[in-house]
Formats: sequence, C-alpha cells, structure tokens
Amino acid sequence: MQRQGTDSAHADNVFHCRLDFADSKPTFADIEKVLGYPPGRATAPVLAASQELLRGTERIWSIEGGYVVYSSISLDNGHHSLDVQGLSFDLGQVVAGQLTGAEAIAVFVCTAGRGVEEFSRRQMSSGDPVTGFIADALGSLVVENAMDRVQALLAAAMEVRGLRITERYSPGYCGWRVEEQKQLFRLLPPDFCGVRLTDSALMQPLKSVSGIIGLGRSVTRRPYTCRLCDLEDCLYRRLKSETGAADGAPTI
Amino acid sequence: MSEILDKLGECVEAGKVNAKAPFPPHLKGQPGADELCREALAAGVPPEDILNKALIPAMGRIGEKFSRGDAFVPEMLLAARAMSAAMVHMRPFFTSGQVKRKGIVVIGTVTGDLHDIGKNLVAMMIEGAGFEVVDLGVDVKIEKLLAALDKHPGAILGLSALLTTTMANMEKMVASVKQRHPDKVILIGGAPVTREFCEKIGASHYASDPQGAVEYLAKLVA
Repeated sequence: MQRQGTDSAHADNVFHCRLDFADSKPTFADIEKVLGYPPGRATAPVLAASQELLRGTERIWSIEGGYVVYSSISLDNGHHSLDVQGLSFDLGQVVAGQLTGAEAIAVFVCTAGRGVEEFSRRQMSSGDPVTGFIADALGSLVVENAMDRVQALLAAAMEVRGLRITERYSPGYCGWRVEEQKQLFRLLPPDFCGVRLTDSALMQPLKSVSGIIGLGRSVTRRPYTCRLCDLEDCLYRRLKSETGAADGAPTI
Repeated sequence: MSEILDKLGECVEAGKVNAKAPFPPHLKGQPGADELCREALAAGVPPEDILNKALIPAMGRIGEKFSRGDAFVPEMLLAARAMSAAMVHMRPFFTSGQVKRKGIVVIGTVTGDLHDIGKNLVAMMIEGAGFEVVDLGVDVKIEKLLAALDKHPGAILGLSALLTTTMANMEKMVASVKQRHPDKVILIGGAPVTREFCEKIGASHYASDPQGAVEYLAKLVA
C-alpha cells in the first residue's frame, strides 16, 4: 500500500492511498453471499469461475482510496442538516442521528478502478456472462473491502488526535438522497482517486464508493439501521446483515 | 426424437454448452446444447419442436427453480449461455420465417445511467423465453429509443434504471413513449424502482428480477 498525506488549503488534511488487490481481496464465502447463495450452495462452475477471478485478475484492479477531513462543521440533528464549507446537506433522520456528537467529518472516496467494469463487460459480450456477472460482484466487494482499510487508517489517524469515528454513510442510502453526491464531490479535490461524477450523480468508475464519516470525542460507531431503509433489495444490506457484524451497511 | 429433445433440454437447464464443458460432472464428455441441437436438426427434428419442446421449456424450468430459491442468477446465466449455443443453429430458421419468435422486446438502460448488468441478465432471460431482443445498450437517449420503437412498432419496451436520479429520466422517457405510442406495453426494473413508481409513471409492469420479467411477458403472449 502506498500512502500520501498532504495539507490542503480547503481542508484540514487530505489522505490518499493506493491499495493492492491482495489487500482488498474478498473470500469465496463473501462472493457466494453477494451472489445470493446460502453458505456452501454455490455450484461448481461458480466456484471455478470465482477462483479463477481471485487468482488471475491482479492486473485489472486500480484500487485507490482517501479522505478529506473538515473540522469546521455544523450539525443540526433537529433539521437533519450538515453545513460544511458553505454547503448545506440534508442528511435525513437516520444519517443525522448516527452522526450525533460529530465535531468534524471525513469525506471519503474509494474505487476499484475502471478495469474491472471493462473486464466484466468484455466477458458478458464475449459469451461468458457468468464470469462477467461474478466479476461485477467481485468489484463491489473489492471496493467495500478497500474502503474498510481506508476507514481503519482514518480511525487510527483520528485516535492520535483523541477523536473517534462513526460508521460510513453514502448518498443514496439510509435515507440520504443520492442527488447530494454532487455537493459532496465539491468537498473533494478534482478527480480525487480518479473518481468523477456524472450529471446523474453516477460515479465513474462504477465500482466506487463515496460518503462521509463523523469524527468526534463522543461519537459512536453504531450498527447500521437497515430496518429503517426503503431499499429492500439492496445487495449490501444482505451481505452485511448476514455477517452478524452489523445491521446492514451499504456505502455503494 | 423425444430422447434427443429431452437431452437437449437437460443440457440447457444444466448450462452445458458443448462437449468440452466440464460441468455438470455427470454429463462430462457428453455432447452439449451445441452438438445436440445440430444433431437434432440433422435428424430432421422440426426446428419449432426444438425451440418449443426443448429450449424454451428448459429455460422455463430453470426460471421456476430460481423463483423457488433452488437456483440463482449464475445458474440462469449458464442456462442462457447453453441456450444461445443452440440458438446459433436455429438462426437460419428465424431468418427464413420458418420459426417465429413470441415477440420483440426493445430493451435499454435509461438516459444518464451506465449500469448494464441487470439489463443484460433480463435480456438473456427474455431471449431464452423465445423473444427477439433489440438491446439498445446503456445511457439510451429518447431519440434512439423512439426510433427503435418506430422500427419495431409491435415491440414491448423494457427500461432499466439503477439510481434514483435516473429514475426521473425513466419517468420522462415513459411519458415521451406514451405520447407517441399510447398503448405501448412498458416493462420497468432496477434496484430503486418499485411497483408504486411504476404506477405513478404509467408504465405497464414492474419486475423485481429477470424471472418476473419473463413471467409477465409469457402471460402477455399466452
């Protein structure tokens, strides 16, 4: 992993790193789960294609992640709003509640790169839709795993300052409107981690995540509250809730 | 004749493309959908029987397994792939008109949205159910969509959106299509799309998964 930490004129600090596939590689059990199988039920062709992808795709990944910390924020739990750098976010009740006590925020981005979506598309169009489909799911898992690493690095950096972190929250999930992603990207340096946003608030590369993490002396890293979310078919809800680690945790 | 159709159906359901395919283990080394379809045609089996008594029922069985939770998306894709291998040999009969498809489905991901996996899955399953699919790709502009519908006036339309922001584009596209083709059957889907949204924008049906789309289309043409 390569790290870069720099000061920035518009934020307290900026952190960026590149990660190897080995650092973010999911297990076959995770792939099986994200494809919808109960444990141990994936069939032999799926197992074979997954193993091949886990073994032989190092070159398609270009994994980058990072965050920008803003120490001057105003969080209004009553109105579910967050003001940062003159921008006002309507976080919704769930996200605002989870950030209670935040004195600062980290705005994050992480991507698995463009290679995996191109690989998946090639497989789909060249007559191997199973490999294409599994590669797509693998891309989602890799970017989540990579973001777990970035989040752990943030936690360690904040601990030095006596601050704790919340879970991560993304526009489009937990009641936070996806349209607010456009504002969120204004808090990041241009092309940060190579991720751009389209007019439809779609991140490119597609296998990317973005969002915010609350920082403060009294914040708590509470479980996600998928029960309150409208996205019943969310793949990540299923993935996280079945791990028992949290009550669902989408950031993509 | 029945035996070869049964074997062909078994291969499609199991996703065995050809003799080289190592899966499923109990069919290892045996002919797959590719060889069996060729053999059936060479033996004089009518192509419409191959389609209606072997290929489509096999896809129907894998779809039913999916609905029951006994099969998952990869199994459906494997079956669709095996079906495609057989369909290569059927193509001349579609072209000549000897064998007719159940209908045409024009499909695409709405303007501003680049997600194609879900749309591709639905396209494969619809094709496997006996429909001709005209796939317009992703980020489909309304002009391109209307041109395709003008070219295929009897076609059913399938639209996919993966973001709440592009759902707004779906609403606009459905309105434009309805203005030009008031009776157009429009099937919609995608992660944030709901039955309520479908009713709100005046689309005909919301399918939560590829099998839901296939079942709806099968009822339409029954």
